[in-house]
Amino acid sequence: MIAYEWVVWFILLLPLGAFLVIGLVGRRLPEGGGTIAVGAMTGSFVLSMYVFIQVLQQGGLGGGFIPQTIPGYVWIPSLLPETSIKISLLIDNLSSLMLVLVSFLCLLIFVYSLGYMHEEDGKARYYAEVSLFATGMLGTVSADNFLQLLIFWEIMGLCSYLLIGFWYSKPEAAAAAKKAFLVTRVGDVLFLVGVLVIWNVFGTLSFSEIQGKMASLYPNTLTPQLLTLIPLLLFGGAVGKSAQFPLHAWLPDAMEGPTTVSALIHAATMVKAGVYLTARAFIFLVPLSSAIQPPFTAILVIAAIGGFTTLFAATMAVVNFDIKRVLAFSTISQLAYMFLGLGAGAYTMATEVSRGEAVDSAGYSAALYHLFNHAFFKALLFLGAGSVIHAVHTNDMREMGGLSKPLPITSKAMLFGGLALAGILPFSGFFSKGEILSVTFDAGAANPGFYWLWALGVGTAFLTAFYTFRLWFMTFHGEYRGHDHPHESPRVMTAPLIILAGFTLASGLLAYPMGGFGNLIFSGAPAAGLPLVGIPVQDYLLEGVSMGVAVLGLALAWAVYATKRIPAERFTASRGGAFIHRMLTKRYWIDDAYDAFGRTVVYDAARALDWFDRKVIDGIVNGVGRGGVVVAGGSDQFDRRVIDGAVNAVSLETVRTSLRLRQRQTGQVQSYAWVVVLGIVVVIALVFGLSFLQRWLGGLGR
Amino acid sequence: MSSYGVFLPEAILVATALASAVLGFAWRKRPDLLWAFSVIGTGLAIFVTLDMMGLGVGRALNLSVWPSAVGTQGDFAVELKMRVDTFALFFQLMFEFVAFLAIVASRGFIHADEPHQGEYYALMLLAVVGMMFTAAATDLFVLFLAFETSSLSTFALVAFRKRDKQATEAAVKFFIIGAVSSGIILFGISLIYGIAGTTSIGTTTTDLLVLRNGLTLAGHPEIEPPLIIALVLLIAGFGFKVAVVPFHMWAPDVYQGSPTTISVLLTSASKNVGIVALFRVFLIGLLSVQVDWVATLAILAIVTQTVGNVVAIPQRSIKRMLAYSSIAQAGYILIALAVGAIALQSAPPHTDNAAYVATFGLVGGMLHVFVYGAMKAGSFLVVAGTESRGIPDDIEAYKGLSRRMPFLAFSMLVFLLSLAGIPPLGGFFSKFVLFSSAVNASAFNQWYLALAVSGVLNSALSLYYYARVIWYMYILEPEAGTAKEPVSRSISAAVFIALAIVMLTAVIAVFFFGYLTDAARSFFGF
Repeated sequence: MIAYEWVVWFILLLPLGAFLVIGLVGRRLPEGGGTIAVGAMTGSFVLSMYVFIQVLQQGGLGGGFIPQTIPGYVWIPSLLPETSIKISLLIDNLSSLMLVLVSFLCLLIFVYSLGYMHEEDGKARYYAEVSLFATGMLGTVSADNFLQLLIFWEIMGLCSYLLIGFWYSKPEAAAAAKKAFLVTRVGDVLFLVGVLVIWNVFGTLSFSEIQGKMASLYPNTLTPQLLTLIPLLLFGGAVGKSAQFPLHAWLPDAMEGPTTVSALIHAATMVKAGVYLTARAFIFLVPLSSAIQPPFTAILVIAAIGGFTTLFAATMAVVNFDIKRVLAFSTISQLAYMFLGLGAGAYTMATEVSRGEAVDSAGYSAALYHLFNHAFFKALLFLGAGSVIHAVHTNDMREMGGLSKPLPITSKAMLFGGLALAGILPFSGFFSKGEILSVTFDAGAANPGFYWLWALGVGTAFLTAFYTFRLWFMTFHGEYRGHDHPHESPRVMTAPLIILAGFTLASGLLAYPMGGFGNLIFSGAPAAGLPLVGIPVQDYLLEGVSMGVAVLGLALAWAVYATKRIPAERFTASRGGAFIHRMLTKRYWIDDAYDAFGRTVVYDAARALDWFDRKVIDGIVNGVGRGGVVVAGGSDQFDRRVIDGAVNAVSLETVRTSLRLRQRQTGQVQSYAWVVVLGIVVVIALVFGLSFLQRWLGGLGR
Repeated sequence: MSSYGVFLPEAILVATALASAVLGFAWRKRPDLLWAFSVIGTGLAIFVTLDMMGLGVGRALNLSVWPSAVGTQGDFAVELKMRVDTFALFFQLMFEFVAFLAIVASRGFIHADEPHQGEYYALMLLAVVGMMFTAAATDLFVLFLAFETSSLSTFALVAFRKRDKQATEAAVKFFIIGAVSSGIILFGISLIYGIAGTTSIGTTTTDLLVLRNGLTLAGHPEIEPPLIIALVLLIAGFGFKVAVVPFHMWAPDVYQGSPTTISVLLTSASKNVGIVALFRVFLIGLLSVQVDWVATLAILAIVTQTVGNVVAIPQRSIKRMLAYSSIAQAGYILIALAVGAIALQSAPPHTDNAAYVATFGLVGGMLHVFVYGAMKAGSFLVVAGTESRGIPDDIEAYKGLSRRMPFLAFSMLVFLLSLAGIPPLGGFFSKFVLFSSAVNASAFNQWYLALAVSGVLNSALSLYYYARVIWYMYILEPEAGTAKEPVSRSISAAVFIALAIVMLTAVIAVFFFGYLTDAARSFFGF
């Protein structure tokens, strides 16, 4: 039990309060209210630590598991209490850890923002939005049911949209924000459908209640098909949020936002929410009762998408020259590792459960361990990139180089981050990535497909080391190629870098001696009463392989970009090489394909239908009488005159109508809608007021 | 035994609609054929509906087409979540009738060379089908779906003349506010579903009767706030259709901007869809909710009457004036809702007096719906008739109309006097029943007298601006010459039908009153 459990609420309420204060009066405060945001986040972090320490003391360290629901209030009451929808917080080993992680990173990045955003206009807007974001993320990881999780998840999506478009006057930023919002929306809709299906099947949305009802509902209400469908729908949400193939296209563009936002939202926290959701979906993936057939298909889909995306995104990182985009592709790739780990772990576990054997939660722990490590080193890399951009005022690595002299702290910190990302012993990335790959290899015993996924993962490890050090060498090694006078960033920005650099070492070394990373964050074990084997994979051969390829990648980057012994042009010299290079810079034409789909299929279909209606049907009707139209000779004419003419006419007419409408319409419909909303408020007040008045009068009468 | 035969009118209308959409291509040069086809289809549907009501030829000739009472034949509460009872049939007839008037007048109003006439009739008929299903729905979701069917068709109809700036503007407004309202309704339904979704029997349903029984169990004080919010959201969402103040602002713009035959459909039929939805949802589904929403409805009724009448005074456009007047009329109809609810809520179940007052109120409401439909449709049709002769929609242009178009001017005179409630015209009877039901309801709560007083005062107020139109038409000299203008025969015919109903309400009501009482009783389940 957590003493004074109500304080948990303040972890969320402090940043929410900061959002409200800064949003209302931030413009009049010094630094746009940045100090208030930092203060609130400090409070959240202290409280999260308080909760986390208690969880550790009361069992986390000893192998126990403490789920505790912090009661909130009944949101939608129901005549039957068990179906009412409550807003409560859930504290267990996983959520307490996530709370600490999120609040700590938010705090560091808020502090860094004090320096980075110092010269910007609209600071108040920035701090208000990041505070709201912190509320959203903290709420997501501490939600006790799927609906609440979805709500906070959407708050994050909103903040992400607002912050990507922070420089909204820049067209690229506005477009990127819209893209991010729309693409993640596809996933969000799937998630929403998943939540509705869960509600229909279980009549509840709370994690613990669902887990309790699983066995009794299977297989009649909860059919095997539904059991496969539900985690896949939830994973659909995760694919959108965590930018996995095929919904990955938004994340590289999201780099149009301020670098602090990229570090916080698009590397360290929000994109992890998808992984977190998939981890919560383990209650469906691994039902922990041998009576229930686990949804192996769903698990395989998750693992396969993870395995594919990891290599897919890494290849695109190799050719990019934008320092932030390289890191963005790398984020996609590393997130995919986590999904691969979750999938492989779930497969092993599900196999063991169905055989009635002891459960080994290594894959689950490895993925979340990587989440934890990645949050630190990727935040570090982004903040380092921010420091570099702050110094040279460009994102293009071709205009950098030789920056290790003017930026000594940044360059060393980024070296630490790079080593961790590449997975070099003893930095944190080595441990978690190695574990994920080992788990994947071991899952091959149950399903040989995992050997292939393992091969993809190993290939990615090579590419990761390569592009990471390509970035580092291009930025910090050699001669400066730009025209600026770079200088080191202020203390308020370098201090978070130094702290994070320390963590790239510590988060790996601290966790490893304790038997891997929190095996016991897996929430299913106690409920099922199955023995839990908590030993991490320690297959030195496999981990050696993954580090070996990383060293190879590093060496190649050294040869190409530091010593220039192998010229980069050699790779694109052959026709095949040039084609591959072009394919990668074009991002496999997937963005183009989406655009084309939107333009042709949706937009043109609408126009074509309109044209069809106007010309073809009318034409057919007219033409029936005349018959014998000369088709062959007239086809060219037809094409040029009729089709082009119709298309031009239609679009011109549309534009004209909308212009006219706008002139005549200004504000009116909006104000009508406002009146409707206002009217609802007034009528609600009226009903409440009357009902109060009646009681009061009744009281007087009697 | 339920029989799908009760859906014959809807089937006829759907078939006519689909056929006219297709035939629209073939008969592009012959819109008169299209028109005749739609008129015949609608007329046939009315014929069948009347027969089912027991007022038609089949009954008169003693042919037993519908042998058992429609109440049991039309009960599809389980299969389709619909119940075609006497109450539903009345409203269905009403919708068909208004559509019939609008369609008949269309021949004179829509020019022969206008495009898309097939779609015009098809959408109009589909809108009516949506309305008819709304009247029969016994489940919130089915009701919502039917409601949306009619809404979507009317959005498109308003924009039927694509090149008309005013019409497209009106359509955009209508659509946006309509979409907002749909969202509001859906939100209200979802809240109610959340509160009462699982009843004690363990079935998940939003069936209105089950809802009523389920919500009676409400000994839970904590469900009160969300329930109030849900109630208000439903009032707002359906109130949009009815144009209840403060959800009325779109109505004048849209009625003014749409093609006038569509205005007829909107103001006389579409508005009553909102009324029937409010009746169904509030007097059946949510009746047992022990929150003081009844008084709120009464206040909304008074506010709606007053705002509508006051704002109508300065209007120069006839259509706009009629639009505000129709807002006021909706306020009168709301009286029936408030009266029925207070009578049923305040007394222990169904004492004779409560049942009597509730029935009387609902009869008044239905009667007014019917008469209102005729007189409002008629007055808009008169405007359509003048517009089709190029007379602008402005009171100045109506100077001396009695010389130029004597029949239309006379009809307008009758409709306006009836709207104001002058005996012996139809509007007088229906208002009389409505207001006296409010007086009866004062037995339960003396404040209900205010409803009657407000209704009477508002009627007096409305006479001011109705009389001004009459003054322009009959007293002032025409500026554009006194030559008689020919009026399209189809519009005259439609106006004539409406005129006959308004003038003969006293006679019709004798036949009708018994039916309406039955309908009200079966609606309440006495």
